Amino acid sequence: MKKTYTCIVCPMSCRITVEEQEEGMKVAGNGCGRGKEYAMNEHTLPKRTLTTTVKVENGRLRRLPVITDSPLPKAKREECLKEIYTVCVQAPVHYGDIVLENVCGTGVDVLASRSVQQKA
Amino acid sequence: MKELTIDVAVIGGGPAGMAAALEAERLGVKVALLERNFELGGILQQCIHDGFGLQRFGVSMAGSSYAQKFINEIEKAEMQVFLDTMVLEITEEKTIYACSSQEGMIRLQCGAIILAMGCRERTAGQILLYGHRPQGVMTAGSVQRYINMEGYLPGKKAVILGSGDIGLIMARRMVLEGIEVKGVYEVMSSPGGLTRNIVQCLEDFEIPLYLSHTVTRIRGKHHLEGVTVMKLDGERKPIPGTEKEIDCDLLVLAVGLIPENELSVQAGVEMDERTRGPLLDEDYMTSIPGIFAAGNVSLVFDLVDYVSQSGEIAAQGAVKYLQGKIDSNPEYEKVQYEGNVQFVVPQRIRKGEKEKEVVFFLRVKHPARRAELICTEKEQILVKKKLPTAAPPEMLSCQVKISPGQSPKVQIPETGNSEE
Amino acid sequence: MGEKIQQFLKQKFPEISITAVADARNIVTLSGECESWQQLVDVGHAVAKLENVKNVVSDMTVRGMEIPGRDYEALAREGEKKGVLAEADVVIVGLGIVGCAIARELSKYDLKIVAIDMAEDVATGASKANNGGIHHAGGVKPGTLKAKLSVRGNRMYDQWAEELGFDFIRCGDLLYVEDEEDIDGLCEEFKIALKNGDYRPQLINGEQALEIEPKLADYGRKPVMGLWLPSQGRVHTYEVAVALIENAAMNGVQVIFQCNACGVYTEEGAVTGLLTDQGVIRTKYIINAAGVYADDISAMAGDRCFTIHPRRGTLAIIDKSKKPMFDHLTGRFISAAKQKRNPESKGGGMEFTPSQNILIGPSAVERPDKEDVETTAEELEFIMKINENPEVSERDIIRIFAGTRPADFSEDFVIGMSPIARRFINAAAIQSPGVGSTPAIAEMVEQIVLENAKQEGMEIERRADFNPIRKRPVRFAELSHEEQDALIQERPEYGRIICRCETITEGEILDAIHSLVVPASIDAIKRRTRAGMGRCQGGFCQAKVLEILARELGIKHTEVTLHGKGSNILTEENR
Repeated sequence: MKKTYTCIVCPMSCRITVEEQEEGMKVAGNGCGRGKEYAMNEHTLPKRTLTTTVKVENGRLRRLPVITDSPLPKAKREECLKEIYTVCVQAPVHYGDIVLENVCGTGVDVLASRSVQQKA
Repeated sequence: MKELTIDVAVIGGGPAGMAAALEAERLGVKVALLERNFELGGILQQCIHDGFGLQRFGVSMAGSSYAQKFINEIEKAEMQVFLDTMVLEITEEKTIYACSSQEGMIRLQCGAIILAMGCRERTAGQILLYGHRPQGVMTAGSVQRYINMEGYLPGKKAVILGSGDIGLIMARRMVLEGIEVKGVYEVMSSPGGLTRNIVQCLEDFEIPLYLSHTVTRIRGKHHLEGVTVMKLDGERKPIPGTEKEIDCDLLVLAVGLIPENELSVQAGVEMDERTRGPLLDEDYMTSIPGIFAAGNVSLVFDLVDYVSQSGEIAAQGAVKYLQGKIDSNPEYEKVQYEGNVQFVVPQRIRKGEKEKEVVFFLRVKHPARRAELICTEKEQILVKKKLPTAAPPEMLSCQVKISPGQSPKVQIPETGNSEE
Repeated sequence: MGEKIQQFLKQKFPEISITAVADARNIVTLSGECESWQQLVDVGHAVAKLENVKNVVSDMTVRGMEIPGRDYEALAREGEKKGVLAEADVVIVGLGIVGCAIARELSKYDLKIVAIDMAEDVATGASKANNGGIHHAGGVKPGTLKAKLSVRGNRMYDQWAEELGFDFIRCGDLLYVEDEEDIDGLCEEFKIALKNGDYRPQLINGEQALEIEPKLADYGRKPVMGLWLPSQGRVHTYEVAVALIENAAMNGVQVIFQCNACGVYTEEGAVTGLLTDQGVIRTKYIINAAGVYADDISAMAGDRCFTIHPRRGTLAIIDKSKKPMFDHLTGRFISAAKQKRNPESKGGGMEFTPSQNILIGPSAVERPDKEDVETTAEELEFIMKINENPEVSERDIIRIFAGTRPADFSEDFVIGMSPIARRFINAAAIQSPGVGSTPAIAEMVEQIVLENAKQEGMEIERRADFNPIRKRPVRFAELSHEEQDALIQERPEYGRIICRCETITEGEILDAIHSLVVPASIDAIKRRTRAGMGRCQGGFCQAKVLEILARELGIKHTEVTLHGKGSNILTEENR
């Protein structure tokens, strides 16, 4: 099976094809080594950093922005979102606080991407 | 009225203003930072997605995190921070009138002023959307604010007009919030946003992108019920017969940003038609000596890292001005440009000073491959930079050493390798 | 008479067959099928122009077209279930500027007045989408009710502005010609102004025109003759309507919004009540100021004496950074024969609001749907052709909008007591120069009510406590910095800027919300305070106004609307 990926490593935006053959993966169209690595990762286990918000109570804001501390497998996104959306934190919250540990068993933590003070 | 005297006043506590204020303080002057919101950070606070800070900090962080880093530093600093404070007027004599509910009116007499008011979004009225005027047509920034800051959804089925990064980011954001995104429509024949965002915000979610398309009619008397989209010809005119009706209750407009220069104009600062920001010199000083501009008020940048950098350049300039190192009635040399160049900032350089390093920011007019960015002085090449690829959404920069009396010219010769 | 009209139509429109029936008042009802909406309008106009025809009612249809209308039966079923909503002496239906003015005029008397509107605020129909001209009488046909009332209304505006605290500028109108062949037309306009009794119109030479408006020379204009009409003025129509209804409410008028009239009760040929979708209002008088729907309301009273054919007008509003070319309203006069425009409309021009925003337009297009306020590329193109300002291009537009003028076929105002339903009074078909005429329209309706009461042996007394003064709201942006400081010290809410384009404070928004006629939508707040009216069109302040509205009215964020029912800004909370 042959699949094409648009490389995002640099602005060249190479169209890289990955083909699974008996002797291994055949990568073509990449302009550099980093592109090859990118396309292979996209082909085998694409990962993304996930950002969203969770509810925060008693804070100066009603929502706390959060970010995963490392990229998550793309396929796990829906499941992880569901779990993240059950979280409700109490202000004050500090930038970098862990809001949710090991989301869906991925080994990835969800962190506060800013501080939120308590309501005055 | 509260009266204050200050060395440098910075108007706007977003990324440009925070960087400028911190840099000015680092250089040892008395700083006041004025912010209209109840907290610092500006628009970064609603940019919860990652991709910020790669140039400056070497890591990709959320916009809110990028802001937090600066806020934490400002909290440790000595400067006076005025929150919930709106600047109403700036005079040519560098007097600022601002108001806040806590302080009443404040009159600040400043040695130098740094304008860092940022930019605002183009609206439905400005892009001439036809049809009804129901609820449900919103700028991407408003949608972003409602969802990320307030925690409310403004619709369930969305169409996005404009494929700039903000539009793409909002496409993904809305899907994550359970809003169905029916497509992104772009007037131009090439996408307005970065490839990375096309891949991660659209392709990941199978959201279609329609180039050379626009919304030609808004339907719905009270609330948006749908839009008509049409394909555009080479002159960006709708092609009859290509009408397509789409049901949606939210039309998100991501159709460009405009520097917010009402205060600058009112103060009498000379403007540049192309950037829609003030005419700047190498220290980001405007046509009024002692008034500087930084960040998106001077031109709309693509990366926040550059915005911070411009804030620092302006702060260094402001301190130089306070130290009397800048001629109060300078003569200028215009920065020339040609080829595939939309604009260059700074637009001019002060004549007759000692050798200096100048950072030029520019954008290309149209996409190009294997081009070259060249900065020349008469026949001499000062800097030459290879551009494997260049596209209008991306800001280019080059640093050039310029000797007194030199008049630089920035050019990107047309290569004939332009895409489309 | 009907026969003769039918023959006339057969000649003029041989391709269609129209039946005409005239009643004792010489009101002609037309029926039959037309080929297009424009043709239907043309037929109506042609008949209305015939000698002795008082007005035209259309039962005509258009081939292949369903003419849109409101479902009053459904509304009536709603209302009938609800019982009595209010008791009143007078009900005013429709709160455009005309309805608001009548409410205020009648609030001088010891009457229980209920004023209703189908929308969530005043001035949401033609009153919000016009250019706010207080017209001189140069363009109005002499002998019409329009001519009489516009001249009188125009003169009443100074006192109104003073009592009611709204922005009013008397900028004057300078018409000039550059081409000798237009002189006759200009003189004709002068004669009309004179005949109508307009205030001091003056025919002047080119030099005098340049004296009045020296900037003409800056633009290379070479006036050979001019007509100076000093009576021309400008207002924000919605602001006048708000001032009027607030003053009316101060004087006891009850205002009910989102209330749809759907039936008129009469006994022995006289009004006894009004059915609305919110219930029945028992009343002696009904005043019909329902704008584009006035013909429907009149029909409910059993008196079909006119038909409204909505005429859409599109306007473009220009960013404040672009200044008007001239200090006075100034335009080149071109004889009507040379222009291609709707012959029934004076047509728009380059105008400006009292806040110095340039306004261009309106266009004039006949549309079958009374609520069809769509903007189109064609109409924008039309109005941008009117643009004479070299500094202004499409790029400077901050908003385009459209409204429908409630035009009837006689193209004159319809004001009077119905001979069929006593105590039912029409104040209908008010289009240009309606804004300027409004004070005189209100006065005329007042006289009709008083006269009728006298005839019927009812005593209507003036109220001793009537207060004609509505104080101008605080406008933070207009104050000196010292005044601003004093104001904030007294009430800190004035120190919080909500709308940054127009510099509108939270204090001003709170003042509006806690006024007698509560603005309960984002647009209503905009009409009171100008918050959201600037170049960012609410992009920055809408969320803040929404927050304030929710807090002050004690409603959920998701319940706040842009302009009433069905226009909620937010659908749900996201967690």
